[in-house]
Amino acid sequence: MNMLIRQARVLDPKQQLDCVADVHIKDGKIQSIGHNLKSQVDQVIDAQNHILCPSFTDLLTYLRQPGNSQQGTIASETQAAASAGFGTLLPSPDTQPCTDSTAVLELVQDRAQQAGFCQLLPVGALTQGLKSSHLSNMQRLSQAGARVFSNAGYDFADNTILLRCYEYAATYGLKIFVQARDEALSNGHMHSGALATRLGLNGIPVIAETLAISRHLQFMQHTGVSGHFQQLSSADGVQMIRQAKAQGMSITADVDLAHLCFTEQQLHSYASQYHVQPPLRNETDRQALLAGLADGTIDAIVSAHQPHEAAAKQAPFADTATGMAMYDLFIPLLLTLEGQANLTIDHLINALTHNPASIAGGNSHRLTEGAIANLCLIDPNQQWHFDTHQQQSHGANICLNNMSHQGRVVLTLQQGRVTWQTS
Amino acid sequence: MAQAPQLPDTPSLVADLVQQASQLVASRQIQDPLVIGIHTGGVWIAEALAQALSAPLGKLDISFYRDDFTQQGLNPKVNPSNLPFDVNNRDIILVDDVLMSGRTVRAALNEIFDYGRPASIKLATLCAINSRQLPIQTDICALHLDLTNNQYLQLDGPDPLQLTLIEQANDDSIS
Amino acid sequence: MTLSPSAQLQLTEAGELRHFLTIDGLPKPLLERIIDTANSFVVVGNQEVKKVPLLRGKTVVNLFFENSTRTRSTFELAAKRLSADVLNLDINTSATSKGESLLDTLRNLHAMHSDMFVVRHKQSGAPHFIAEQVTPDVAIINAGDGRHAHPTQAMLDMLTIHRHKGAFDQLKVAIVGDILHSRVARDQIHALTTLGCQDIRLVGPNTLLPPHVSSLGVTTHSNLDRALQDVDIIIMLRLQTERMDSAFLPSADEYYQAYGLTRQRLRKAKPDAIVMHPGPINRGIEIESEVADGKQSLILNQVGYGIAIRMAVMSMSMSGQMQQRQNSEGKQ
Repeated sequence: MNMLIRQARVLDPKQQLDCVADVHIKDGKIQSIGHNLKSQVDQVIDAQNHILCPSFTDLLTYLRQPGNSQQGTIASETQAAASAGFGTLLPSPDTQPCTDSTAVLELVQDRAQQAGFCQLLPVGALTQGLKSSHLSNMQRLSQAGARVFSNAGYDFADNTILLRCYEYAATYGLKIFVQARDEALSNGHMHSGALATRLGLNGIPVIAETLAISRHLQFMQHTGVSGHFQQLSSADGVQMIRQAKAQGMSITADVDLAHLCFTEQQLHSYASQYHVQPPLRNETDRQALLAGLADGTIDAIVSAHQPHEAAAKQAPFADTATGMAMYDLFIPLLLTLEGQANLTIDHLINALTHNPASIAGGNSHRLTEGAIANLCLIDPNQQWHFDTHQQQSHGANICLNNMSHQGRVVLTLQQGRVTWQTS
Repeated sequence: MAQAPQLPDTPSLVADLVQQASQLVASRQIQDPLVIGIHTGGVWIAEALAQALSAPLGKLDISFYRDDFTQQGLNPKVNPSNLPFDVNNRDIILVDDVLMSGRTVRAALNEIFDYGRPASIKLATLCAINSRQLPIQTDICALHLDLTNNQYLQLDGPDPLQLTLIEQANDDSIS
Repeated sequence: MTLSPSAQLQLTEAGELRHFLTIDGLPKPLLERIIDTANSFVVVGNQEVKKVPLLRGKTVVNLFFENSTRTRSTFELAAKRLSADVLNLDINTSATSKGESLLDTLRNLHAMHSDMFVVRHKQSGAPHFIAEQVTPDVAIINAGDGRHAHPTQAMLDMLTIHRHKGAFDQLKVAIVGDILHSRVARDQIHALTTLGCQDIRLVGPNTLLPPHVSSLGVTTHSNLDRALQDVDIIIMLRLQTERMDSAFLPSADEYYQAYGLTRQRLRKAKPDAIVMHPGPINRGIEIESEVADGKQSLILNQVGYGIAIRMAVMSMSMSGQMQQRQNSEGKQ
């Protein structure tokens, strides 16, 4: 393969690279980055006003396999991820069976390699069966490639067991990802506020998140484990992370794209597409999440992509499954954030590339001459109409369907191969 | 184009109808009749008839029996229907102010039959306009008229009772 | 005036009622028309012939996913007095799986050409789901969904108030009890505020008041004696015994001490104040027997008005739904 990308805005926040240039890619490697390149190529892409950046790393996604294949497979969902510019994914351990055994880790790796769209970095289950009562074989799992462990948001009834998990992880220098939610207080379906009262739905108060964050912060402090908080949803939650970082704790945090773009107002007519956990909260919380991303309190953006079959969302609200399929419209939604809370494109790109890559413990992909091409090319101005004929994910729960959108990934390269290209 | 007809004065029309009703009773075509008026104009006329014949008076509101419920919806202001007698095997004089398409009378007949089975029903209206949509005719009537599409009659009352011919600029559907 | 999404779902393009799901968002003239229409049906209920042919030939299905003999029988009676054919379905959801079964049940019913579903369901938003996504051409009447709404009950309460007190704007209303779990209270609040009532007092312990409830246009109180000062209307809500088991209240006895409507407390209200209750009443838990049976109580009148309101709402929405159908057929 031999292609020339002309006049793209080349953006690599890690190198502090931000310039308009031509990029020549041959046989899967970046041959040269320069101006007015005259390379002999098979394909020229006019990339004026496009953004060329390293491909994205997703710290939270639900690929459904092994498990319920009507919702999606590793092949379908990694292809969807590639269409959104992602190259590396950390799938949730909450599969069926979960990733508490090396056999499941190997299966997932095999499937991903066969499909060939994305690199998967395995996340081990923190407890056996994710049942929060027995430690999983963390050491063996880490030897099989799991550098990160998570209990997938399932709460611990017994603090002693949680303490042991942290102590055991500390033994082997393992990182723990935390989806902070207090289970007893999370017995609801949306943010606890005036709208929940009006709709007659059980609400999940902010303290369900802050209580859990406080608990885990103390365990991290007590055991020295390096922790990462996932899917912050509230202003109070952001503030706790900010204070913990200010006190010198080595923690990181992410937020999912839906919480940056939407609030509980999406639910005013019981729109089950927006039924998610943690719930979408109010505008004050959303602004605090944006501000947290802007000032570095929040390090990364995740997709929290969760495909479902149609029936899962076709029921009275409280009976519907939680989660949104985010890959197909990831870039159009991401681009709407530019300018909010003074967020710039390179800040957003950084939160999807360098930061999550270093949190995952993997290698950042670089845009340098000689490097293997792991990149994506985005046209932020392309207007396109999205409907189900174009969707890549198997999920039937994509919001903002049948509408025009602005912004699209036109090319994704993964380990030097094209994994996505628009015609 | 028909000339707008001159209407006789209303009290004389009422007197004429009363006379015709008395004749019905005198000639034994009906016995001991009950008088039932259809709200609102028909009730005013029926009061006059009932008094003249010394007959019991009943009042019907046909709003719930109209055939245009699904097109027009329900008029919330409904007068109570009140038939303070048993209609079974009785002769009835059903009274309305103006007979036009016949739909109002059809509704009234249905409503009366929900109360029981009369021996007979005679239809008495102050006037009848030649614009029938159903096979319904008056038995006694004080005034027969031919009107154009943009003319109609309106009875105001109860005191004084005044029948007026109204001309409209645009074509209005009549019920 | 832009309509709220809930109003858009319930009304035809011409502003006629076609589904009756919640009072939230419905315009004041429509609520007044429902009251007027119901008043004419009260008259019908007092006549010898109580039946009118408005819904003859139409099929009304009572879909009760939550048991309630009382509510279901008033809907059944209302439908029959409108000359409709009535089908009663009691569906026990515990044995069935969640959403799919509801969808399939409704699709099967739809295939049998029903004209109206009266739906009671334990999940808030279930009738919305049905009206919006499953069978939009069938008139849906909400007979109570989760904690969200019970619009026919609230309207019969408004009818009661209108018949006995007249205009709403000067009235002081107290709603007492388990407002957190009450779908009736929410719709009563929407109806009262829309009809112009400016002084609505919710009374109960903090554990039984919903969060941010003052955003609905009410004030909250925890002292019943003070809250009843000068009040015209007292609406008592039923306290379910499960509330003690799930740590909302310590005991029925303590609740009655603080929030029970006794004769003594009733004297704090205006001398001609009326007492209402959606029923069934728990004597000695939320209300003293003598008050429930006393001359200021309109609890039994509410039942009769319930049939008239349901006749009004059912005939209005059937008419609206048919007009909508004719309009869309006309456009094809």
